[in-house]
Amino acid sequence: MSVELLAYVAFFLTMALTYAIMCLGLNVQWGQTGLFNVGVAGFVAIGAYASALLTSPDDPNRLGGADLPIAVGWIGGALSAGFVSFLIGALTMRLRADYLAIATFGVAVTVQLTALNLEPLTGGPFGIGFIPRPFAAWAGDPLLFSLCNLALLAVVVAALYLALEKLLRSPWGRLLRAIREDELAARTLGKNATAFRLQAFAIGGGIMGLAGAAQAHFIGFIAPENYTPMLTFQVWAMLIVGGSGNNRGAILGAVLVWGIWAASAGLISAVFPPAEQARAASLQIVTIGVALCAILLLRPRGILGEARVISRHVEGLQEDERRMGVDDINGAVGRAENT
Amino acid sequence: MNPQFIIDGLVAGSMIGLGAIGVTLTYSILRFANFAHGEFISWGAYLALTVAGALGALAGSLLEPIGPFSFGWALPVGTAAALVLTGGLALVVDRLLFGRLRAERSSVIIMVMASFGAALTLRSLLEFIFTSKPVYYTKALQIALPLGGGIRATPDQLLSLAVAATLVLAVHVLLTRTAMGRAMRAVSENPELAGLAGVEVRRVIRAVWLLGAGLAAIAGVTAGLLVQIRPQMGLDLLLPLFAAAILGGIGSVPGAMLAGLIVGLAEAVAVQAIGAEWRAAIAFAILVLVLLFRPQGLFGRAE
Amino acid sequence: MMAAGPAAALSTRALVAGYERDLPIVRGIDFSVSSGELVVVLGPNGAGKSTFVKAIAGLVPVFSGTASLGDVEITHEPVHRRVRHGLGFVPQTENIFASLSIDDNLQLAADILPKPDRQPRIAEVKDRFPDLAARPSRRAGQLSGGQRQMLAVARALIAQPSLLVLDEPSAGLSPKIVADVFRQLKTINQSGVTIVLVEQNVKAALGIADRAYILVEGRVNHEGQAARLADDPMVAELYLGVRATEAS
Repeated sequence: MSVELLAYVAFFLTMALTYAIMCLGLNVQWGQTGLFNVGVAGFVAIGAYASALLTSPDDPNRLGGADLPIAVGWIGGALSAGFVSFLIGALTMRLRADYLAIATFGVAVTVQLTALNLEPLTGGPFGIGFIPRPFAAWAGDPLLFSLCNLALLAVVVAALYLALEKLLRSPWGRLLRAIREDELAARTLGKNATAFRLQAFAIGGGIMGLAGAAQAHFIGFIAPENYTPMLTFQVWAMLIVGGSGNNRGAILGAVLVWGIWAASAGLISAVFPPAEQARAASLQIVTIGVALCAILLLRPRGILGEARVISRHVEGLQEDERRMGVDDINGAVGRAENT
Repeated sequence: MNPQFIIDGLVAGSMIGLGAIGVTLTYSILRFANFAHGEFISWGAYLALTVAGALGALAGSLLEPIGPFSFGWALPVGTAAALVLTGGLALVVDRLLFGRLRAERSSVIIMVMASFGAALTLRSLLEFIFTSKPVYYTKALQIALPLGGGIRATPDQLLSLAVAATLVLAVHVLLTRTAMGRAMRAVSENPELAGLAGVEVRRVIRAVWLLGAGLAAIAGVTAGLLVQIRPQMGLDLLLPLFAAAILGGIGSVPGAMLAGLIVGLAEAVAVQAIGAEWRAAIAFAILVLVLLFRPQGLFGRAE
Repeated sequence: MMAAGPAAALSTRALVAGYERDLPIVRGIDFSVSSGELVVVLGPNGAGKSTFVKAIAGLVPVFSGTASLGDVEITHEPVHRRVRHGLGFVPQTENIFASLSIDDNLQLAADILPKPDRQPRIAEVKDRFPDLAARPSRRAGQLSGGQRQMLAVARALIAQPSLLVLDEPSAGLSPKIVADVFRQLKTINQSGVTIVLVEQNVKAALGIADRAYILVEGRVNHEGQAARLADDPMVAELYLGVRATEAS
């Protein structure tokens, strides 16, 4: 294998791993807790911009540029995204599930708008450049540089994976799933259920922020156009393909979908004349949109499916509820329509 | 402050209101926030453009402006066609996607997610067919007429206000005075009991899609006429639609329209006060305020 | 005692129904009600009474067996079609549209009648329930428990059902109101409407019923004249969860 190819593979995998982090964050929210976030891109952007502002060198044209170490930026990115998630969660957690979805969508729109228009802070449409890259000293050797970055991201993903798995099996994780799977348990816990959900939502948002920071430092510059609803959609596709509720699936889904995405984008630029490429790219999105809907219809638990960690007791409770005819309201529409 | 914001706000608000009525109806009767509703607006605009364009190509006289307006008869006819076609599109999406998920008794959030996927698919399909370049129904320029008090409005703007007012009234009468309206309100409260009262729930769901998508198509044509037609136009309107539907109180048609006007006016004020580039953040600010202080909305009942 | 021929207003044969196919709650019920009868379905908690009548109304899937209204087989008919075949069903809870006015509740049910018949029919039913006629534009959610039950029954009667099925109409009501409701049901029955009633309130129900079925674990355990069952202390104690002294 040539050095260029190896460097490219390392680059590709590093990018995929940054998506894997987003996926793991979304998995805490959706997979473990059943909270629907339509604004993934917004939370990723918050992490990326926060970290960029903390670590980039001073720039006379805008505020920020604190020139702090990269690690401080990553932590700052995660904390700020986590904080915004907490606020949005606190606002909507006691309301119906889709209010959270609408509010997160609003976050994404507003964050993108802010990035675009708050030029003194965010650099406006041109974004922020000169974000320090890890192992910048070795940038002269592309292969070594790529491999070091890949190794760093791999360590971050592995550490996150282990931490989340541990959390998942802790009493906290079991409670979360019980709340998600079983309204009865949620009602018994009352206010506490809301608090647990909120914690999960903030942690998930923080992880997305970390992903945004990591990605920003790996690429070296950021701009508002990186954080469109398309990004949200991609991360969702990754999690759904991998299987929601399953951390290994989240990572695998990220690599798989990013692979398909990169390959099809490459194919489009090779096959179509430049004038038609934007068009072909939209067809690419159509295909993935249809695939997402098809998975929801045919394999709602994803390709890998959910790791079975729900206790027998909880399943027993669910069984009872079904027998008693307790069903969610949407089921009622379906039943009235289809009987 | 220049009072012109009133007419700009009312015009934009009436489009938001028409879209929000559809959102509020699907939300209260099908019980999920439909993220694909904005796409009905874009599809309505493009379908009208296609039909009107075809008519204009067949008979150039149809493009001659009617009276003081900037468009010819091709556009009203195209709009009527778009109304039906967009309704048909909504029924197809329901048949292929939402209906199947309902039959599987899918949870609310799966429906929301599916609508998210449907939105991206529909929008990208438009981009594929029409590209993302803005297009217009007409190239004719209109002179804004002085209305007094320093306010000016074009005939097109005044027409769009009149159309929106008529439609809101019509939908309100439909919901409160007709058998179908009663059936819709009944299904919205309790679909099972509605069935026991003899209501065919399937038929009501079809009517809701037709109504919501039809109103969205008209909002799309208005937006296209007064601003421009782009595949992103529905996405850009989505947050204002949700903000208006929630502010108005889920299920309330007059509430959705009034809240649409409020959102439109607030946006127009913000455009004057802090600049047009921040327009999109206003809907979010309103949404946060409503969720904070009155989550049931202006006309909704606390759950 | 299977009532045979066209006189059966409602009959089921080996009906198996429930929420999950491998765990049916109704496990093969043969049931028959003659035209004009008032029949009560009794049984201990979890016997499947409610599921049985919901299956008849089309709210619970039927896995095997048949259900017929008169000569019409309705086993797999959609709910709204059963209403048109003459079935009126009053659920135990959430049996009115609380957000609609009293008039809209009745009007909704009348919408399936031919247009000229609607208003006269509503007026007819209101005559029977003067409480509802008093303030027709009041939101149904503001009614008292007893009034709600009356509205629910009135709503079901509007479409002129040949058979009225009620799932525990006495649940949550005070004894005085229960007596009112039951008196009203008896009058409705005497005006020619066949009634099937699921009840926990054994004494009151047997008091107005012609016949009773006792379900245990999803099957018919006993069937007989209401008066005779009421006097049978063994039946009362074993299957109905009441002490013999109470039931007599």
